[in-house]
Amino acid sequence: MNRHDAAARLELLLARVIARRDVPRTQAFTATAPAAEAPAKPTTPEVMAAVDALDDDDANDGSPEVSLHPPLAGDPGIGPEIDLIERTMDLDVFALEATLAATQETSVTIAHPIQPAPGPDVSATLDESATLDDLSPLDEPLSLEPEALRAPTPLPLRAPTPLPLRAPTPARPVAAIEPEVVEPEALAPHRPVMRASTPPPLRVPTPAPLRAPTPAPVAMVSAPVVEAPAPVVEAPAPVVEAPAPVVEALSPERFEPKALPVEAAVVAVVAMPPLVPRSLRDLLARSMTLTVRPAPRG
Amino acid sequence: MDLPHGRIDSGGPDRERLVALPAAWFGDVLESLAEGHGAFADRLAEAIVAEAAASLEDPDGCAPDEVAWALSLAFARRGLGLAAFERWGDALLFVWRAAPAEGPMFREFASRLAARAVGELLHLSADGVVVGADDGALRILLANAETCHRVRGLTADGLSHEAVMALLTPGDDA
Repeated sequence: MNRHDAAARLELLLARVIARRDVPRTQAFTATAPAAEAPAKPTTPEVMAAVDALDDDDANDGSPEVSLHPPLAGDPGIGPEIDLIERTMDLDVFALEATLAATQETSVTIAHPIQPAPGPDVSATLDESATLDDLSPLDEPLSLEPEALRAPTPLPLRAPTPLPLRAPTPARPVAAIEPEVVEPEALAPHRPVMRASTPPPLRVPTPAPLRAPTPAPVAMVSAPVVEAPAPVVEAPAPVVEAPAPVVEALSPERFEPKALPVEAAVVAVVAMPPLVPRSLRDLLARSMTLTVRPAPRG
Repeated sequence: MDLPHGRIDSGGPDRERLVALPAAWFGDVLESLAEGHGAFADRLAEAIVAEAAASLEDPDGCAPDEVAWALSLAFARRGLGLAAFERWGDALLFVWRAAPAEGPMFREFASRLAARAVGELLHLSADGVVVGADDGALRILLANAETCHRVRGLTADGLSHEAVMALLTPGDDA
């Protein structure tokens, strides 16, 4: 692969990468061959030397390490990302990288704008801080430098949030231990002091005052027995002996009128006389037959 | 009584308009009349009979208390008092209670009014005479004209109505 071929393939790579903007930017330019799935690439001693030199140059620049050779077995590296690119782009990345390293090209200039399909025209210059967003359509030719391929954009380091420091709990005051002052007397040999044990005074047990047992109050209030004698009401039956009516010949037979209606505003006292089977007209007719007999003389 | 229109009527079938006068004036008017009180009584009896007859289905067959009720109703609507009946033996007395007056001319007027009212109501030609007045009641004997004339003489002699009643005896026709 000569220089032009490498540039052309790189151009194609970039175009496809741009077309697939979902590819992480860091993966696009920090491509490193995976170990497991990458096939063994034929390398020449010059290529390997160049790669080693490139690694040596990047060793102390503080940027993440970029490895252009297959990582050791068991080192996953960023193989999965390269796998993704390789499968999607179908590129011989290793061949391209080897070519670039062998030729020691410091830049790759794309002479004409990239026409990604179906995306817009893209031409950009990549540097260390280049991102995919920077690959938006540009009029200037895209310039790629080897360092840009290797040095990924460092992730912004977040300053570690300082943990709230708790004030150290003051140590408990240690009680000062003063040396015990031992007086000379205390150091004197202990002499047993014999003391006659004074017997406790004998106390005649005072007899408890006898108290006459207080009789417990018996609260037994006898309920008053209220037995009111039932009043014996034996009212003597009134003996009503209506006197026999004395029928005199001249006692009047009264005929009171009925009760008057309300509109008459007169309340008549009704004393019902004994019913007379005869009508008033008959009584009047009989009364009209009366004559006055002569008064008895004397 | 239709006071809003300034009218008082007896409430009878003819709706005769009345003039309310003090009861004392009624007696005074009767006492001032030399004659004519008979005509006044007949005119008043006519109105009373009309009302009493309207209150009774069959006045001829009514009991004494029923006729007394009908007459009392007619009397009371005119402020004349109440009516009742007593029978002393065969003698029938018209008792006028709470009469508006008590004078001699009123007695003549009352006997004429009671006999005329009861007679016309029962379709009999009866006469009347006052036999006594006590306890606010005026007792009027209803009998034939001859008997009434004689009783009037007895009462004028000072006989009590009980004594007069004792002199009454059934006639030969009874």
